[in-house]
Amino acid sequence: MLAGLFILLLVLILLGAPVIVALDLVALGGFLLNEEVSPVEFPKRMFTFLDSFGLLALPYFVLAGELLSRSGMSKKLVQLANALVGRWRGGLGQVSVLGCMAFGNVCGSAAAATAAIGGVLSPSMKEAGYKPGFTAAVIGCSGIIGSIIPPSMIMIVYGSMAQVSIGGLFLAGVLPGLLITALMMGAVAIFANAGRVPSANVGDPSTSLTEAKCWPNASPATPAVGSLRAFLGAWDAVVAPVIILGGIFTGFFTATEAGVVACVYALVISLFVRRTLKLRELWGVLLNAAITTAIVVGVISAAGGLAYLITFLRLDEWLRGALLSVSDNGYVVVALLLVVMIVLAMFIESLAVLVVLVPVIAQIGQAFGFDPLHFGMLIVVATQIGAVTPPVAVVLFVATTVADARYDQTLRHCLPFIVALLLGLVLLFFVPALATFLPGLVAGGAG
Amino acid sequence: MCAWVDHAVQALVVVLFAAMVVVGAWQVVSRKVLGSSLTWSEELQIYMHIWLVFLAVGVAYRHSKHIAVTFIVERFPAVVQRGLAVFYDVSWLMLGLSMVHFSAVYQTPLGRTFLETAANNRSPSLRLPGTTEGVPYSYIYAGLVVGGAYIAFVAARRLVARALRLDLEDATDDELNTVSGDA
Repeated sequence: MLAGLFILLLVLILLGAPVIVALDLVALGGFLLNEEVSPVEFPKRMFTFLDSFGLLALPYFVLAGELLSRSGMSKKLVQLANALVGRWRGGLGQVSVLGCMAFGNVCGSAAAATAAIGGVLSPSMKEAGYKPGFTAAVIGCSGIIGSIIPPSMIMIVYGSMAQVSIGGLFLAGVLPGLLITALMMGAVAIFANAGRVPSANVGDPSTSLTEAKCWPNASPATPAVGSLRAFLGAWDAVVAPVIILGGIFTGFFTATEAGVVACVYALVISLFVRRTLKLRELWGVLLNAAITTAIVVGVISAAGGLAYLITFLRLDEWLRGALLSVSDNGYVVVALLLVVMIVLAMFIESLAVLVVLVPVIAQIGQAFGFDPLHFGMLIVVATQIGAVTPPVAVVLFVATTVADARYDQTLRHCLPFIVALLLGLVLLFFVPALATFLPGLVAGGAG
Repeated sequence: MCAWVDHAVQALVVVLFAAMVVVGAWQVVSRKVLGSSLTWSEELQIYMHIWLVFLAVGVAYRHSKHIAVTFIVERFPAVVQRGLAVFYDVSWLMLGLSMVHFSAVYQTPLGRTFLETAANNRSPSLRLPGTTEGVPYSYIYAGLVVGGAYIAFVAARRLVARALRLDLEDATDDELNTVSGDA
């Protein structure tokens, strides 16, 4: 029966059912068809993962991201990235990678980073002669850095479901995020050297299209002055991660408290400093942030019922046994698990893969002596790679739309970037210190 | 049709969110600045969040914002797409009603509903105002009942509108300003 329900889940999601509906229908079906389970479990298990203080980091960071992204921040960050790396080979391609990384420091969602940075950059990239498919591929694949650099919604989801420290995951994400940024920039540089990317010198204000768009009335005398001016222009977005991560790193706040502080910071910036938000617009901002929260947390609540069914029918034991029968080497088992997650996320929405599998697999890493933060980061990066891997590549869909490309054009260009991302995952797999070094510096672990 | 219900639910969602931020900020200030931890603030935030989520799931449904992978379905004939859309609305209706039914109507063999059972469990640190009694968990779980009822309401209205071939005005809403980014 369970196999039937999971096939139903797969079919429903592929047929375009909202993920929350597919999960809840399957849970309801499981509870009603199984006579040993009381249907009272259907409402009860919706609360399994919601009774968690860590999960509250999610609404707070969603709200802070929503507020800051309305304050003209993405344009300012693109200007900063342009001042820093715009003169390099493949300039605008590099700018888009760095811009997504910088945006990811403030906002925790890959799709939001892709939409915000892509919205600012893709018109300039088009004018500079980049193919729309290339633009979409580079912006989409860079966008997932938004989920790997803290704060990250995916880490909050994983941490609260697997009961791993969310503050610890945030710190664990810093180095892998920087590594993947460097790998993506390397991939863009290889393209540029091969002459497949326009190498207009966009750093030069007199010729640059980007400059004209982003800097209408400024012509910096030297690159250094330009960088400084861009840095000052984006100071509020640069300070935010210092407060968030600094607070967690010093043990001053928990991740949830850091989220509250980020909200207050963003409110002060947008109401009083930048004055980009009028008080009466706050209503709509709160409503938008509540909807984004409910979309993610609704899926988590639906996963509670499924997790109960999986345990009740001993599917988790069966899966662990199946993995163990392949090999008793922890590295082989975890590598196999990551491959399974990426393949599943190629076909199903990656959040759905995560919430269904986390309750089953969270123990596996620990059983083989993996550090919980290292294992968590591997899962987070693997599901995010799944989110840019065709056929179902949710983040690439967003990038394709903002870059005004066709999906098949995007797919033609995305392979080298996916290889770069996979290389990042492999490095993270073999070098646990990338994830565990920063959290290890915090005495007693991060809240 | 009955737009006041939508406005009331959205107002409740916004007020809950604002209250969460206020309580969260209060907690940080009292712990870090005043040096005394609040005992109740974490639980209160969790409970407001639960209410917020179950209400806003319905709001997100009304605005068709839930995550779905539609790129396969978009290649199907229009008739099939319409059929699936009706099927999903029926599913939402069934789920909303199930959330209400199995919480507040269905009785276990002991003769009590889920909410009645939950009423006997009380929060360890969040007290009812003016008493020493903890807040009963049924107050928290009631968010699921109200949220489920709102989902069923939105679904039923959509299905009626489809049957009567009325225009759904759900997609547009003054209160919801979409993030245009800052382009």
